[in-house]
Amino acid sequence: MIETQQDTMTTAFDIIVVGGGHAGVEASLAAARLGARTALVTHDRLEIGRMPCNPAIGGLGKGHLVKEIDALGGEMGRAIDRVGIHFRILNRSKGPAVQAPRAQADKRAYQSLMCDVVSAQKDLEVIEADVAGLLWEGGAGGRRVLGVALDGARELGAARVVLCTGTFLGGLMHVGDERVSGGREGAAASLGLGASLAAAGLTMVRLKTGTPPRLHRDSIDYDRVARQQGDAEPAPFSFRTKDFDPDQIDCHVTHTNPRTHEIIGNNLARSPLYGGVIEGTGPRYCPSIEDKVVRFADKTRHFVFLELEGRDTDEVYVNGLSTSLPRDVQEEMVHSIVGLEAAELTRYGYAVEYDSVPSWQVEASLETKPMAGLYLAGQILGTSGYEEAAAQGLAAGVNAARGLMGAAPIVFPREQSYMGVLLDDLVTKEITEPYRMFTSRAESRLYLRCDNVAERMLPLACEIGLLDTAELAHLNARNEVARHTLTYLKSARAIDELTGGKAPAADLLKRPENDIQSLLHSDSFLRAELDAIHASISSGTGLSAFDLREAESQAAHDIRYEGYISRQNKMLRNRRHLDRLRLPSDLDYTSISALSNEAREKLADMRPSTLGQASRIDGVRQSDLAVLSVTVKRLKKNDG
Amino acid sequence: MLREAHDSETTETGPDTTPDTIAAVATPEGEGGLAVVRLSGPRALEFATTLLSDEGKRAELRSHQAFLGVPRCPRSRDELDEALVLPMVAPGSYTGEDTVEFYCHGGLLPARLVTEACLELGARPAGPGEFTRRAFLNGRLSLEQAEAVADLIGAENRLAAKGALRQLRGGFKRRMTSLEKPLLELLAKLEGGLEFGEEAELAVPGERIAAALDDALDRVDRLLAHAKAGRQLREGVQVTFVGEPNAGKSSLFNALLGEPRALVDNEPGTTRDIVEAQIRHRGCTFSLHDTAGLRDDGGRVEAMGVARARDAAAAADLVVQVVDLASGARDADPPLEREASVLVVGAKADLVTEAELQRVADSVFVTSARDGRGVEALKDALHAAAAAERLDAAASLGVVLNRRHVHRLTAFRGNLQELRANAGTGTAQEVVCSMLHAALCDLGEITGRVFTEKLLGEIFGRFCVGK
Repeated sequence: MIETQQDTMTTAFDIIVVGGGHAGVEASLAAARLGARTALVTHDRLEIGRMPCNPAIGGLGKGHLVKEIDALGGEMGRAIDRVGIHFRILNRSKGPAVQAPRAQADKRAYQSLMCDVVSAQKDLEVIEADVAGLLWEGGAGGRRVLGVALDGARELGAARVVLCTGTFLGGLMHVGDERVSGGREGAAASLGLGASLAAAGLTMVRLKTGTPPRLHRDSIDYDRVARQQGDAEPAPFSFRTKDFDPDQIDCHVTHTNPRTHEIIGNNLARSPLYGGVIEGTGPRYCPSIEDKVVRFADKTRHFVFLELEGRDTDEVYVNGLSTSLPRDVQEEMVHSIVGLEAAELTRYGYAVEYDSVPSWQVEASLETKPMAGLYLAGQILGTSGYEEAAAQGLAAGVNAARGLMGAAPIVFPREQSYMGVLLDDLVTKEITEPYRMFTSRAESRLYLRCDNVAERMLPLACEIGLLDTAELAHLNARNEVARHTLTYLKSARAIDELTGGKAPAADLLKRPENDIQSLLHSDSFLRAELDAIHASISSGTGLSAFDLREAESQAAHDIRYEGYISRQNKMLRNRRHLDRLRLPSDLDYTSISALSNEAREKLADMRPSTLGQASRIDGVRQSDLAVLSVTVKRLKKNDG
Repeated sequence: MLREAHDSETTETGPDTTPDTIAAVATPEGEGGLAVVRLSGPRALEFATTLLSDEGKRAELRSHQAFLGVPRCPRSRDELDEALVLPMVAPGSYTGEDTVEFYCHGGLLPARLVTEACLELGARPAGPGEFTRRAFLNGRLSLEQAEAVADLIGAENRLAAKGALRQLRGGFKRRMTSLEKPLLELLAKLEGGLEFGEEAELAVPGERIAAALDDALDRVDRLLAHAKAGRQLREGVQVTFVGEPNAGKSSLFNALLGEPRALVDNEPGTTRDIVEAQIRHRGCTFSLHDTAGLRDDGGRVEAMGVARARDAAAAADLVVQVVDLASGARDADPPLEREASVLVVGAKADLVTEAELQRVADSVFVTSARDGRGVEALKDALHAAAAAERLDAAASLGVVLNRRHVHRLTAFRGNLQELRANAGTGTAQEVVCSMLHAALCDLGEITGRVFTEKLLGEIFGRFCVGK
């Protein structure tokens, strides 16, 4: 605990957000928009919303998250729509549940846009400073956060603090055998805060991640690499984006080759990872090129995507070549690749090691268990990715603001959203490597689609209150269009192109080869009927043609997946039941002898807040749940 | 903190939020003549009504009013038993859910038949302690009861863990693994293609999917074929005595048992219900079922006994057809259609001349309950016949499937078949994955494994993915 001294200047806020990355931006905007006097403390206001790694937003699972964030009133989707330079829907040839938008950003434009949005936000003050530690009261029995101490003799007081420090906590960068303290290139690490968190009773682990080198755009031989274009009819992330018509730039693709792999193999000893210098655990799904060459020795080539970082920048991001090898090896490796023979490295790749707080130490609201009022979001909780960070930032900002107002935290059910999957995984899984969202993490994947985000998020959007009346009306109208389209299609008959006769539209839509747009294209009566229905609902609500087409797709997918989804729901019903039964946070698991040993240890560590969460912890069995429910009943009884 | 947690607890969960309807024999197996089948959950009343309704006559259930009912097979409408039926509307039941209890006075077999009928209607076999768990969740147990049950569950848990461990160590585990692993690999490949299809070359050809599914179907079929043998090892070989009324079945039954369990009388049709008892011989357990004599002109209750006898014979591993040597009815054709082996046994040898016995000795197994002739030899014969059944094969495979395993494997098989029919017809890969995932979850309920993390491990261990 840091004593408040006589000569310190204390400024009071309702909520303090530490860190101006993607989690911090959403957290601070959400808090301020909900009416809390908010401070965003960051090292450099010009670095707000920076993309230190890949210059892109979205992708499988991640694009889903951005759409959800957007429907709840978050900023990320709207921002990327404005400054994106290359938009694609991934997996267009696959089913609707695994299609998701991905866009490349003009990195600088994204930063300056986010800086502007944050600066213009009412009730949000940006403070450029380093946070030296936390202020709190109370001891091991119950701590409560009071604010943060800044470098120098300043203190900021607040009843709620949200830490979004990314890779800055104890950050250490590696390029070959060079080691520099820092959260990312050119930015100092936060060192004091880590000690403060440990003193507050939080356990920390070391994780690592990395980034590839950047190349000068004019030094690439574009004739020798393949071109990848953005979608001809790009789709926006945000339902609030109007008249979407971005000016797109191409990307390029090339490959590594046996020569590249040989260079890497010969220099493994000089890699901090293989030299044993880095101890942190890195992600499996975003492996460094060293990792790939060692682990997948039978592969003779790996994809390398060349992504321009912006309209007015000379830097190209070399996606797929994340590395911490020494500079000379990076040069040699890049030059061995077709099209990059004469490439100029403008920046070298590096690995960064940082401290994170294993996420079982927070509630699903993202409030820490040992310290009331302290919330964590983003990489500090062991996740990876801008979108995952933004989703947590939004949840933490909203819940911190609700906490101030005495409202219960928002619960995001797993079967309703990827945000729910993310938050639930954080509190029930032992995360041993940076966590990234995948669609395969969602049990109800067939329902968690981008096309029905309005339906899925509308009730939560109303409860949270970040959208204004017009925006809510828009979301509601979008949802109504889908609902009425569905009802209509279920009773309508349409032309069956196979037979030339008429058949129930629902039956036709269930055939994998049919899609709604071609059905409507060949049946003008159906088209006209739907247009009339849409017109009656959507007039004056600002729905775009894109909204209407998307609503039609949603209805068609609902019909196609009806059977599967209801089956999934049946399987998930038991879970909802268990999710309603709360476990006391101070339950002494070690004293419950009837629990299996494994369950007792896991439960004592992870301290789930509901029986549902307990059921998802690996090693907890049905019989353990029975024992738990008895114990809770008994405690209740004793408690009167 | 405790206070806060409790205050924020939502209302006690009622039956409308409980997951599904479960059924099981709620009395310990092999004890007493009365077996209780408990059916609990949102559809309990509906299922019971279906079981108890007769053509055009809909059963009326009133909460807490017991009545004598005749549960019928949902398909054949055959009578399964005459049972005392006690419907209990939520929350006034043990579990706090809608519950119907069937007090089957016909012992274990009818109770099993009633349970199977419930499962056929869509109930799920209750897991160990599941009724009690629901009772907890619905606040139906007193503090004292709850504590006692918690301790019991703990103890059972440890025992079950030991048992499960034994099972998972042997051939069963190997078989489950060889069933699960290729499917998990397939799912990992398919998922990899969905998550990273844009970044790496990960397509899985349709014929590879089909081949993997065919192989798995083949494996699960073989496993299920051994299920019966496994059950025999655990529950004993079921031997059912059938024959004309007054053929001497019950006397023979008692003689094998070494005690007068079944009522014996000269009046035909004395045995109306199934009498069940176990004997062990040469390390093998036999579950003996004495049944009502097969005739069509008896009274209503006797007719019910006859129907039950037919069911028992149909479910039997071995059928002993008893013929009365004294009445000369020994040449009668076996009156039942069945898969089980039939042993034709002549009873009442003490009432027949030696010359007559000589004449029939080749075609029937000669016994006398009165002087004990042929009784030990009959036990040997039963043992030999049982061994000829698949017992030895099952023991050497180490495959012992319990009812839950069979139910899960059957569900798994159904999912797999549906998937096989869908794969390659243009069904979206995400749906294929979803079905495969559901199928693997059925296996996971047997092996107790969780899939998501394992799956991600597979994906990343196998492919070079991610930018």
